[in-house]
Amino acid sequence: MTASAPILGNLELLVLLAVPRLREAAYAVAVRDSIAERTGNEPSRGAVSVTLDRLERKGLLQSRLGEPTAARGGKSKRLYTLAAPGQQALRATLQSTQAMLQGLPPELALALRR
Amino acid sequence: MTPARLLILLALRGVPAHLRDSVQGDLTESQGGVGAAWAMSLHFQAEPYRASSDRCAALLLFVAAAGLLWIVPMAAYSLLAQAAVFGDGFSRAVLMVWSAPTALAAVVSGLLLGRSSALPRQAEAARLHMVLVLLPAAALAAPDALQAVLAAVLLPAAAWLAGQNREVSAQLSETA
Repeated sequence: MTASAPILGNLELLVLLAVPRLREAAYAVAVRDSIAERTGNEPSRGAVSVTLDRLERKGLLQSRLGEPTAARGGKSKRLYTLAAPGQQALRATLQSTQAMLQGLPPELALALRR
Repeated sequence: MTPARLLILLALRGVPAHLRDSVQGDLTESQGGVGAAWAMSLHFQAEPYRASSDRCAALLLFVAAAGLLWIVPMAAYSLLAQAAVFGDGFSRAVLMVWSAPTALAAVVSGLLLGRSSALPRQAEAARLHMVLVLLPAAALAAPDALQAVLAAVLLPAAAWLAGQNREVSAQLSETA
């Protein structure tokens, strides 16, 4: 495990996983739709936008502006990509989760696998 | 411009400037109305208080700024009581400045709020919140209407000026 990589919060983890999944089209609306589609829970627009901005400030994501489109009232999309520290943070968070899952009481471990 | 559009643009003032355009585009694309725009704005305005270190920095700055609003008038009244015996021009000039202690305190407090680098970048929005909280406090503490008006104008003006100075200093230190 990378000792210095931050452990992500739940929405931060979901957003960071959604970004590479969307490849070149990862912007706030698509990230929110992707999370809603895969988890069944739709985070609020504000929560997703704030989380994307925070992850970029932490250096876990990078962003650039796309082309303006008419469907967006002539405004550009802010497109995000996963940065190398973002990969490390994902790895550290998933390894921490795995470590905590080990050694659980058998009945709980069984219930979690269902 | 429709009232709804005006309210959306007003709400977007609460979104950091570098994200405003893309957030507006996101709202248009997902057909978010006035409520969605204000909810978005509130999410960004709440960000300074998310991390405990940011909350702590904001609290310290707030206590310092509020303390100045309290201590400067106290010092002024104390000085005025002692300096009443002096009749020379310099003392009278000093007394004139100190005779509007609430307005003076508002300026000093505003300068601290705008210039302090104690707040991290992600907690910038807290400066405006502090100005909005301290502004009525400064105005209500004023002994007369003139000083109340002066305090209400000078506190945000000083904070804005000091904020501009802080940003320029930060840019200069980045390029150096």
